[in-house]
Amino acid sequence: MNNLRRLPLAAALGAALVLTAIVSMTFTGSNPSQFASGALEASNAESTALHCSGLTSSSVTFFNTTSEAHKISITWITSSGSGGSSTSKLAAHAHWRISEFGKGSVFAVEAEINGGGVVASVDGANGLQSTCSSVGTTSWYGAGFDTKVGSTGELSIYNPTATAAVFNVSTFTAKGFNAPASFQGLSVGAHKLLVVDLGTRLVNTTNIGVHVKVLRGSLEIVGIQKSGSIISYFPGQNQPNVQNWFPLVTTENKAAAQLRFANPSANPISVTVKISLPPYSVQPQTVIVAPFNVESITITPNTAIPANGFAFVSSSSSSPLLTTLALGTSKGIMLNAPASPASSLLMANFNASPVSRVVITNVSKQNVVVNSSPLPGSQSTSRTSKISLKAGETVQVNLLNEQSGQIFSTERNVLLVTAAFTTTPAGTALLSNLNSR
Amino acid sequence: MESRAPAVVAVVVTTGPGPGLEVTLASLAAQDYEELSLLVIANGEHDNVTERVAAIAPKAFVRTLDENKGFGAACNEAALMVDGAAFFLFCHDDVRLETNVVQMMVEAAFRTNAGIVTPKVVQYEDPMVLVHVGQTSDRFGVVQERVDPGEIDHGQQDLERDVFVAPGGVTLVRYDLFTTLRGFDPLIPVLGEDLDLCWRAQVAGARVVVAPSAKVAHRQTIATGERTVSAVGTRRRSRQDLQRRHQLMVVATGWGRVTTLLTLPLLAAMDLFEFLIAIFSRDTDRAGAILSSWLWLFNNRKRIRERRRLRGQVQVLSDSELRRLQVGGASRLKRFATTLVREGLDRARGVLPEAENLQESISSGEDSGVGFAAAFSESEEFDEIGESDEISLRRRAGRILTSFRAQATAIIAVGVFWLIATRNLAVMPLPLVGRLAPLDSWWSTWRHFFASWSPNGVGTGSPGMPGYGVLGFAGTFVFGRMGILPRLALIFAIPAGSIGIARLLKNRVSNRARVIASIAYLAMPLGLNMISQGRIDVLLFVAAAPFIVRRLFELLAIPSFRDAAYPAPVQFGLQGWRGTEAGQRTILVMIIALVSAMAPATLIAVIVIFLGVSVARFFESDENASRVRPWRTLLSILGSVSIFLLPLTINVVFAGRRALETFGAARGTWASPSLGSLIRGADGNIGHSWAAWLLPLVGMLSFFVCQGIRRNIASKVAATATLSLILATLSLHHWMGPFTPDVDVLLALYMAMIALLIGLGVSALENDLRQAGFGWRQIFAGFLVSMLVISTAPFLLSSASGRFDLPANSVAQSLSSLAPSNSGSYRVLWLGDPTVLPVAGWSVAPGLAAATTMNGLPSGSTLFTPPDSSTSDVLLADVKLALQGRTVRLGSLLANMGISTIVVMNASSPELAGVQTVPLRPVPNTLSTSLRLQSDLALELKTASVEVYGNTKFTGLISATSNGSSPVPVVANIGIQGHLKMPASTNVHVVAGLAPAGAFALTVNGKTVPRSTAEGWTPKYQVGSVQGNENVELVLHQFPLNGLLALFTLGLWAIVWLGFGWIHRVEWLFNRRHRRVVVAVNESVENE
Repeated sequence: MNNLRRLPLAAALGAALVLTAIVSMTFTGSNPSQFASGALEASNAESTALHCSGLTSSSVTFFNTTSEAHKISITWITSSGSGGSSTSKLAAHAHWRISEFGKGSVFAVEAEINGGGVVASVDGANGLQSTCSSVGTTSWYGAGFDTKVGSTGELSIYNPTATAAVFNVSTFTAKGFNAPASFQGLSVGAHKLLVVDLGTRLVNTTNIGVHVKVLRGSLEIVGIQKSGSIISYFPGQNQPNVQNWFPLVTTENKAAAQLRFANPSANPISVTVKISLPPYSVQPQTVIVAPFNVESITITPNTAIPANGFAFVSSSSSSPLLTTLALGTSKGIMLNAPASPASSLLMANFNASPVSRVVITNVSKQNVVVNSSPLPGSQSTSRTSKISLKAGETVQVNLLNEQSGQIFSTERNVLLVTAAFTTTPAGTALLSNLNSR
Repeated sequence: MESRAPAVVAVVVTTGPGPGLEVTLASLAAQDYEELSLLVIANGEHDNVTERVAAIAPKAFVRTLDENKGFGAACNEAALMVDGAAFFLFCHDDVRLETNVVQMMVEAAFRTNAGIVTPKVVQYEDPMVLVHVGQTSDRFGVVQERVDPGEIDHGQQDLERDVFVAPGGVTLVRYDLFTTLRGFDPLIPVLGEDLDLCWRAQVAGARVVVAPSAKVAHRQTIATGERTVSAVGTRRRSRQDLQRRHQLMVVATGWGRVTTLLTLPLLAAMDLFEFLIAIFSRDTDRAGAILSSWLWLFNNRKRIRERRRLRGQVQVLSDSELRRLQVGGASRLKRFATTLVREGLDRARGVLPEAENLQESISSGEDSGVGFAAAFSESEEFDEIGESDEISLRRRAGRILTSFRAQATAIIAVGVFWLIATRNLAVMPLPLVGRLAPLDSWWSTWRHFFASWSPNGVGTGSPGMPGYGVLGFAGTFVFGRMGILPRLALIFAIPAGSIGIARLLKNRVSNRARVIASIAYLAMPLGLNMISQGRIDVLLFVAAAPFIVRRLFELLAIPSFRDAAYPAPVQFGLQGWRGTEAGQRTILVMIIALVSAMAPATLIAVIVIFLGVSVARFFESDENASRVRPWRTLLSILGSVSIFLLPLTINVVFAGRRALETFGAARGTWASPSLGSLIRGADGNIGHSWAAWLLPLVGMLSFFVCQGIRRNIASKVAATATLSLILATLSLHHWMGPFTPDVDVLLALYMAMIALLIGLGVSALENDLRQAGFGWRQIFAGFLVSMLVISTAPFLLSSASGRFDLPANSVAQSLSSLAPSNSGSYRVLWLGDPTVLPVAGWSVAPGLAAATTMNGLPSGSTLFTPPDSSTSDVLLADVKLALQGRTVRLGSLLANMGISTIVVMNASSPELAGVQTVPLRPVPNTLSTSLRLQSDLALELKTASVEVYGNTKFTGLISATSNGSSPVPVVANIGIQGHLKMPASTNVHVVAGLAPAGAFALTVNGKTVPRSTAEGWTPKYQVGSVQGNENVELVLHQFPLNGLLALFTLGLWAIVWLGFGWIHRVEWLFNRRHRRVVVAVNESVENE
């Protein structure tokens, strides 16, 4: 027998093995870390939950975005431990507003829904608006809190699970890192609410950065910044980012707008802020944030930036950084967290205040087409349309009437939708996406 | 008509004293060839030559040359003096010819039409010892002998054949050829002139033939240093120097242009390598010889052109044709590498020793560098003779494992080592990992086989898994001590597999090869990893795989496994039926069925073997292949196995989309071993070192060194091994959809194939390499054996713990209590990678399987999970909801199933720094996230290995509600059946998380209460008013169909077992008794 006859077989087996090796190395599997979250994506869910924490004198509106009725059971609890419950059946595309939570300074509301596709908005006076969350977190960051005289910075921490949660709170201020002993090893029982007043350990301090690390369980955390008569719900961030976008930053006279940074790392971070305010050209501003420290850049009032309506502001830093936009007037400020780009965003206005401007932004370097459609069942008068957005472009779209909603969607996670309530001066209160948390 | 023999002129060239001249002349004078003339050339020093010649051969012509210009030049001079001769017989002056040499050589020349004929050359002092039977050469002009040093002439070389070089001494050259070639090249006076002449002769199309019937003794006075080389231009030159430069000249002018361009750079590179080695080892002679040879070539560049021109004039053979006459490779480099591997640098650098050294080494009986393969020779006959010094040369100190005593010693040593390495497995408490859940009693295990209901999932009425039958049967042999069975499997499965490997190779390779292959199988990391993971099912396959492979190879008529047809059919039940095709096939089917009952992926392994054989046959068909119809045979086997495992088959049929999961559940790609790990068999902690690459590497090399029938087998084995690997990779990446056969079973097959290849490779070393001549394969041989030795390192290291890293405790056992605070029966839901769970479960998603246990830890009742998940789909769907983040109340969903606790396992045992390392195979991250977010699950424990969640909505496996109140657990006296302690109330409903709903009935004072179904599957019993003193019982209410099925299966096995001659034996008992009675009656009649 000819020994060379082994070669074709060897070649075939070798080729098959090499091919297998190449393909297996090319397509390596990874452990899925994210499932479809948010109300819209969970429309086929068996059950969902919404947690709204940090409520004071506000109302919560539940909106059924699906064409099926859902039973909704809500439970509320105050920081003092009292609470109550209520049940309702939410018809298709119907909404349910509830504002009677009994007595107490801070509330948390937990809603359990048979099915999915229900969103909730927290609304209050002076353009106060926030979104209820569907998932808890194990790591929470916030920046820009004030405990100056007349201001209160608090963390409203609700445990939506059956597990007693344990967490630590650490802070960053102009004086550096601080982990007050009384903020370590804090515990909050299952389905209980705890309010942490930052002012008890950081007296008369401005621009406080906060990190909450959950050691056990998961928590729904909201920052409550009371500034004079102004209250803002600050949803915070799960992790610091390198790049942040703020499409609607007011430059109006008598308005105040400030970017507040907190560095949660042990290295100094350089952050550059670009301000787009056509037809004016504004030089980028750069600041270095020391380790475990805070910094800020004032957009308004700023002599280098003309007062000309809304500016598009973006920040990029050398390392992940906490960034917060503080908007307001001399009466007080509201804290706004940067929005994360998404592929599908729902804007709905259940607040008494009308909306003065809505913009959509493409943060990618490629052109995209955005589908805009009215939220079924809402009182929106707009029609379904397609909007072409160039790379990095921001365009203004139809205004949102009260009780109306609009869904914006594109193919990739490159979309930002920002809306501003009608205020004086303009742009001191922003509207949050309902499915952004 | 008178016929005359062709004229031959014997040219004897003598130089200096010529100590053997007289003998040479005398032997020439004594030739029985009529037409022989004798011409003596006195080369240079010629004192008394004429007188000495005249004294012996008075008719001889003598020509004296003033200057010694070398042997070649002298022969050329002689040729000028001759006219009309047919042949020249060029002779040295130190040879002794037998009387018929010239006659034989001329006859051979005519018979073979050879241009040059060389005789068989023997030692001058001992004519029994061969010196030359022609020579051969490689493309670089390095001459190789065709006989071993000291080889005894038994006539083994007595075959006329073509050779490449006719070594000097006595050479018959056709006159016209010599003229055409223009004689010897005077530039090559000695040491290489024979190579040059023969090379050119063959380029000119002439044959060079050895005539063994012509026997010449050669004193080799120059080669042995008895005389020095004294030709003009050779003084102060060493033999090595002369030899190298002449070889270089031959190579530089012996090839066509293209081949020269390829060959010379190669030769230069090899010479450079040798030069560097020589410099490194301070061998200045060698370094100088290499350098001067190239300088000499450069200086004679004009001569090169001239020789090339002459070559062009006479060329008949192309380079490729000439190449085929030579040996392959680079002889000198091979010898260097081999000696280097075998004996180190000091010996290696002496690859081309001076003749004196060579002789010394021969005399001293040292190794003469025959080759590594000789050390693997099976035959030791020569060693046992020992009368001759030359024979003693063949002794090899390196021969290992050739005697029975050595093999027995090795086997005993390995056996003792294995027992030491597994010492703790015999006594330690077995952890709850893999499939090491404590077995129930012998009786209970049989009951599980016959059971009409099993508690898997939420309960199932599927037929009992045949694995219980196998365990029950095995338990019989240990007298019901079921606890012994897993220990036996852990300790003896791999040795049993090793024995199987030895059986598999029996009569196909030597005993030594079998021993080495068996030890290799023992040392494979996969088997050790399976011990460390408690994978009894895979270990069973590891034990059985070689036996299955052997029988399949026999069935498929693989050469040497079955070369003849099966014996004639014998009736079923009679003795001899076992040896027939039907009997052999039945044995195979029974083995496969037994193993498949524990590890169903065995069937996939069988299919892979068929595929491997078919693929190999596609490339190279066997002679016997046409006798077998493989696919029909495969279908027949699978069909038979399905009948032998009828309960499992029925389960699979009803499993629907889960049928394919029978062969294995999908593992998480993120925690899967890479292809490199698969090749090493490192699916676990053992085998991640580089040494683990060696065994597969040896297997691969073996595939390439095997020849003949071994290659034929090796091709099938290699194809099967490769397909196993590919299928394992496809399975791990889920590229075959839900078909994800157990990777470890496939790897076990792969490892068996590697062991088989190693056995064949060792056999190839023993046989094929020796036959093939020393070549590149032998270089691998050295590496191969080294690697075999080194590859045992991981095995040795992993044996230190005495349990092959089987954890001392497990995650499951570390959970102090899984019992809920409220009393009553409960279930625990186990979630994790299928390879991590301590109990077999159903796949929910890749990397996530789910299983339940009753009232705590896994036990013998949930060892096997039926493929058909039936009602448990509800449970799996709920887990999937959580995995996808589509529910926040998993606790509520699971409450009606009586699940009180969810255990999420990322590893089978806890990681203990410095004590215990376990492979982490985490569940999908989304599951962990989702469980953390559930509003009704309380995290009770969280470590890197495990997360335990308590179900806050748990209300008991059996609960009662009255008047719409919250359900309260109902306590059963005995497990889930028996008397229920009911609270006194009215309008009582009892809900039991037991499926199927129709399998259970609730009786109150012996009267069955009405049953409805809640949530589609949960039995809900309307009890009504309860006073508290009623006799309330939950009873299994099922026709014993499963029991009948199990009985039928057992009966089938028993009947087939009887078929192996037992029926005949039973008959024989009766017949014999009958004959005795008849004989006794006849005797009594005769007596009367």
